Amino acid sequence: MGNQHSGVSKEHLDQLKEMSSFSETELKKLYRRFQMLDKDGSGTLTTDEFLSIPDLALNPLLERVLQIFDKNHDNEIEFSEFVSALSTLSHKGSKEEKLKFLFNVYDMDADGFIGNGELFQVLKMMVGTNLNDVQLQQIVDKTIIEGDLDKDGKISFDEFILMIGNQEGIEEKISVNWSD
Amino acid sequence: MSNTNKQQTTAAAAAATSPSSPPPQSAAAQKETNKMVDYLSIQSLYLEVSHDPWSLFTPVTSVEVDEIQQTIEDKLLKQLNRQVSRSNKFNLFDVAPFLSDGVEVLVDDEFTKCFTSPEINPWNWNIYLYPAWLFGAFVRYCLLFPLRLTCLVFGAFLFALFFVSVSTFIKNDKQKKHYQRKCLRFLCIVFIMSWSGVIKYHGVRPLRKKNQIFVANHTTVMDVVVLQNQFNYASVGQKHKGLLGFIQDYLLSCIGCLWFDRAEAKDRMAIAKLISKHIEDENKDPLLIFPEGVCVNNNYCVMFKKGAFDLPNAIVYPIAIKYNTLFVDAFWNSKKQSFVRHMFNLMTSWALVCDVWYLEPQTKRPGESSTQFANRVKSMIAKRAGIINVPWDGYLKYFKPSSRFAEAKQKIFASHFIKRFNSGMDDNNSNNGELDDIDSCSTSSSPPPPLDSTNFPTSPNSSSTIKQRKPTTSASNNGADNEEGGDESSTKN
Repeated sequence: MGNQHSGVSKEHLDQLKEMSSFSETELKKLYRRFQMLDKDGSGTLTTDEFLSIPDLALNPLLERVLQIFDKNHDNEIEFSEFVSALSTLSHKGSKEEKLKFLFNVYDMDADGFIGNGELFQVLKMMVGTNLNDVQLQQIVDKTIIEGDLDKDGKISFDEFILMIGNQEGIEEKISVNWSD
Repeated sequence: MSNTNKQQTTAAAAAATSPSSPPPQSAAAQKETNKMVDYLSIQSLYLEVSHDPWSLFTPVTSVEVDEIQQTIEDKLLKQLNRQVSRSNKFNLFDVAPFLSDGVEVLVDDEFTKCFTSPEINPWNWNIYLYPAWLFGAFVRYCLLFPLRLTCLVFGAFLFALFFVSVSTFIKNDKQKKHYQRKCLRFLCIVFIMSWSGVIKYHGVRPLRKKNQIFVANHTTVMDVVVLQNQFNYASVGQKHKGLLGFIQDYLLSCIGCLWFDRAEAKDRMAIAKLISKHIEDENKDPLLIFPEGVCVNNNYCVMFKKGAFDLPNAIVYPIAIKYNTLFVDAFWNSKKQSFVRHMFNLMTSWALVCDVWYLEPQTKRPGESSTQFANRVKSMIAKRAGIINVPWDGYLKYFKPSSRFAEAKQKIFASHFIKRFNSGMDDNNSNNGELDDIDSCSTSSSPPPPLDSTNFPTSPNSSSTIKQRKPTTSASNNGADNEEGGDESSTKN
């Protein structure tokens, strides 16, 4: 019909534009997407709503990723959270931000370190029951030893960057492409 | 990378996960099915005829739901291999593909795109255009709509009158059917008129032949009306009781639709036989089937169910239907719009413009499987109508892939590490070798060498390792062992 307004208010939009690297058109597009994902129209996204997309439902890391999206830890994702996380991972986000995002996937308690237990849990999500705990623990131990330069038994963000930050093509791999 | 190899692997992976305890989601999926079936059954007659012409194949039992999930999962698994790193040693970075893929889908996934109405950019917020738009809206809603509604009601009334009198007064069966069918086509014309349908038919209208089966892409229930306008088609569907059953028996018997009840519907062989019998008879109306099984938004073409392509000797006549979105979006989003709302949208637009192409009849080529045949016809239709051909199964709209699939994904990921352990069990030294490797990395404080495919001769090997995931070393394990052995000897003191 041609008379549909997108539902974001002007101030909100400006605010988001400042916060993220998206243009107004991109933001509007994202908002439409957000509304579409928001099946119950609550203005926030919950895990259940994400699960209705086949590709996402199958992603073992989904829960972790959504926890990182959810900055205020209310188990729901608001549009601003959605935008800021996507902004980080878009091509306009810096490499450091992206690595930080990846780091956060492992850093479950958000204390700035990847502990032994945290790495174990994330790996467990990734492999499910296909490896036993002993094997998994071995992988975890090796990885921690490998990266832990100051021998505190944890991997800090700096150590993390030293470990993987210089790998070829890493930036593209964490970046998210989407066509316009 | 050989495709067949990959497929086998993924199939094996899926098969390996299936015998495990019954998926917890099947109950939920079952519930959803019931919901869907209920939903369908309360829809109007046209819905029932066309919404899912293969609705008799709509899964009913949990076993069938499982089957569908299985095939969906198999298909998805094929896309999986690229997400898994080729290295056999864990790297903190290995999860990145999962991360970026997941987020990519968050922003845009093709599957959802198939079932959403295209965006409309507001064009009328402009001092010049707004009054014009306002005027147009007034004409459409206040003049055209009442007029069309009156026509529709009047036409439907006339139809009912004709139809009843024909069925009561004409005793000759053949003549009766003939006039009844005329009445039905009259009803279709009334419908098309009610949305000012401008339908262009391209190509030669096929003549009635033996073993003819028409196959079209599906956008809205009105597809049937659009096609029926030219000549009568028979349809296939599930038998109903009550009012719908009455309509099925009374109104549609004249075009020879095939209705099956629940019990019969499970017997696919019997149905296939009945369909074959139907299409063999030249006096019956040709069969029209929408192999997508669900309404798609006319920008995409989802997977064709192979049912229609399985029949022996059948000649498939593809029909491509493309609606022009200039005036109205003809896609019926059954999850968001009620049928009445959809009709209202159509009736308040300026016109419904659509093109219909009759394409070259196709037969199954020697050596072609029915799936390949279905895909070939599908790409023909997609190409002609200018819509995007995607592999998704439309049933995904109703079923979620089960957690088993995610497990299979984990398995593939894990397989790369299991290899490490298996070879470690065979030869304890390999562990030392790896530790040496780590030491050398940390002392030189350079990032660990990128662990890439060099550890594996070729990628298919790394993906096929799943199958060979046994402590007893297989051929490909040996290959890797040898490489490891080489590493050791170079790092050992």
